[in-house]
Parts: sequence; structure tokens; C-alpha cells
Amino acid sequence: MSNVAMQSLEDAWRDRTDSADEPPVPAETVWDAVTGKLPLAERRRLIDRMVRDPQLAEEWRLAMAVAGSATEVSGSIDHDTPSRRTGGKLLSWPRRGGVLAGLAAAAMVMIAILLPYDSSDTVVYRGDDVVAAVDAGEPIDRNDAVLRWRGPEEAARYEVVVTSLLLDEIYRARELTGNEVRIPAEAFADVEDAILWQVIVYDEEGSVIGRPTTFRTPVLDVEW
Amino acid sequence: MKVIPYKRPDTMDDSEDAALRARLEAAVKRVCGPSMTADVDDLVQMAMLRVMDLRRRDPERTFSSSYLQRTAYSALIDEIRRRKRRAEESLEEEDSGPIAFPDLSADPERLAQSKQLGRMMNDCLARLASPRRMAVVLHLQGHNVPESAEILEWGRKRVENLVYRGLADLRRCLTTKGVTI
Repeated sequence: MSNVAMQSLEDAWRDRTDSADEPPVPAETVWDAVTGKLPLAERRRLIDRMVRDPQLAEEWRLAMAVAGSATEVSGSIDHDTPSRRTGGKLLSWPRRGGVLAGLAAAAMVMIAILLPYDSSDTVVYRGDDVVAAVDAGEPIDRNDAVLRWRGPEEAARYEVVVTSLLLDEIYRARELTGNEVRIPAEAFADVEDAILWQVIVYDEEGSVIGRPTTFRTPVLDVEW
Repeated sequence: MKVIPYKRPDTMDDSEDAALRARLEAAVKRVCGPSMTADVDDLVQMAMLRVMDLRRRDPERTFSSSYLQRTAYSALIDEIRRRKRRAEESLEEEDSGPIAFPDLSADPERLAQSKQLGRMMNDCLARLASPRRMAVVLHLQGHNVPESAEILEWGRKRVENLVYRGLADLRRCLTTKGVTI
């Protein structure tokens, strides 16, 4: 979701005026909820009530501002998955390459399941060594994540598939002509400790070269 | 009757009062609508009077700044609610003049659309699973992930995922209502 769309939602949320048919929540209760002093169950009840009670929502925001906890941060999370944003590119891919890439990715999943990795090891599964990762064992910052590799001379394009350790695909980049890819921070939403990644190499005709190797790279925790 | 003069505790100084006053002013300006921000000085003054009254009634006691903030906030809310009630009551009386000053800077069409979207959001949020709804509500309120995690007593990653998935659900629901986000 773009920042503009997010802003529209936040504006609409603030512009709500329909009043609730319930007596207002005591100001002290709102304050205690925002500052974390109200019991958890009560706090959650108030959060739920804000959906139908714009007055409570406004008073909550006021408490945030007075308590100094208000963060004017919005859009800190990008609300589309990378795969959604890049979804249109799927159609532009050569069918053969797409099928092969799919098979390669499926193979990576199977291999990763069958061969548990050593957490100290960079390489999860060694294929044909068509690609050598650069510093794959070095942790990457989820806010500034760049994966780099060296490929064979005959490589024309690369495809990079990144998954979580639970093997959920979190990012895929196609038709790369360079030897690095930047992973957007939002792709790491479901990632805890590390990612698995694989570079699929294509020649000029769109054929996959060799069997790709799967690498494991640690991910630094979120810094706020 | 013996009048006990107000004695300011040693721990209090003008800079603390000034900081609290500035904080209240900024909060009202940031959060409240134009009809309230026009009266920001009065509102803040009412809140500060409550703080001063608290000290006057218990001059020997040292109040923590968080307690004073809570007191000031409470007074502020009381005053805002009182003014809103008064404005509503006045509008109900036929012969009364206009109390609330209209917000001339607002684009009425945009405001109407925004309110309509707000109603649809309420509908959609009500349909979300409770954890996602709470995470999204706090996100819309302006809390970042660590704050929401603290308020809800969940892990940051869980909250991050809930916001992410909750907003996706919200977007899908709004799309079915004809809203393109």
C-alpha cells in the first residue's frame, strides 16, 4: 500500500464523527491505557472500542501526544508484498524459463527440507557451483539488504528467489543482468533470523545453466 | 479561616510547568479539530489550573511529572467534552447563534469522501479477526510497531505481521465496497 493510500486511510480514520451510544470512557482510563498502566484485557477492550467510537480514538491520540509517545511515523510498513507489486512481470517471462525457474525453486524447497542446514554454514545445499555468493555468511540489515554473487561467463540473466527459513517465498527478482539485488525491507516482514536464497542462471536463449546452490544469510533484527 | 499560601515544592520549577504547557498546546494543535485549536490557550490554561490546584491542596507532596501529565490530560479532556456538549446543545436550540466556527480551510468534498471512507473502514475493521483489528487500529492511531507491541503485550514481529496482514485484509474489504486504495 502506498504512502498516499495509507494517508487517505489515516485521514478517513481521523475524520470519523459518528458518535458511539455509550458513555465516554473516563479520561484517566484512556491515559492509563496509552501509558500501559491499565490491565491488559481492559486495554484491548478499549482498542476494540475505538473502531466504533471516534471520540475515544481522538482522546487516545491526545493522550499519546501529551504522554510524548506519539510517533508521527506512518507508512513505516509498506503494505504490499513485493510479489504483488511485481506480479505483472510474471506474464512477460518466457514460458520455458518460467517453468524451469519454478522447478528450480521447487527443488530448492525440497532440498532445504531434506537437508537441514548447519546454522554456522553459509551454504545450505551445493548445486553445480554455477554461482558463488559474495559474503553470504555475513548478516544483512533488513533495511539495507543487498545480496551479491559471482556467476559464469555464459550467464545472460539471473533470477533470485529468497525465502524465509520456513520456506515461504518472500521475494523474487527476475531478468537481472547485474550481479546483485536489493531486497526491500518490507519483504522481511515474516523473516526472523535468516533467509535462504538461490540464484538461477539463464543463458542467452533462456535456458537454465546448471543446478543452483542455496545459500543461507543471517538477517539482523529490526532496529527502531 | 487560615489561608495557607501555595508553596511550590522544591522539585518543581518553572521549566517543568513550561514544558507541560508546551506539550499540552502541541497535543491540542496536533490532534484536535479547528474548533478546538482556536481555543488552545483557554484549554491549556484550564488544564494548568487543575495542576496548580492539585499542588495547592497538597503543598508538601512531590508529584511525579507523569502524575501531573495525567492530571493535566484529564482536565483537558473534561474541558473539551464540556465545550463539545455546549456546542451540541446550542445547535439544538433554534434561536441560538452558531457556536462552532466552521473550518474554512477544509475542502467539504474531500471531507465528505473521507467520512464515507471512514464509515466503510469501520465496517471492514469490524469484520477482521480481533488481533489483526487491534494491530491495525493502533497503526491508524499513529503508534509504531514497538509501541503497539508494548500496549498489546505481543512480540514486535507478531505485531508487524498483524499490521501487515490486517491492512491487506482492510484493503481487500474496501475494494469490495468499490474503494480503490
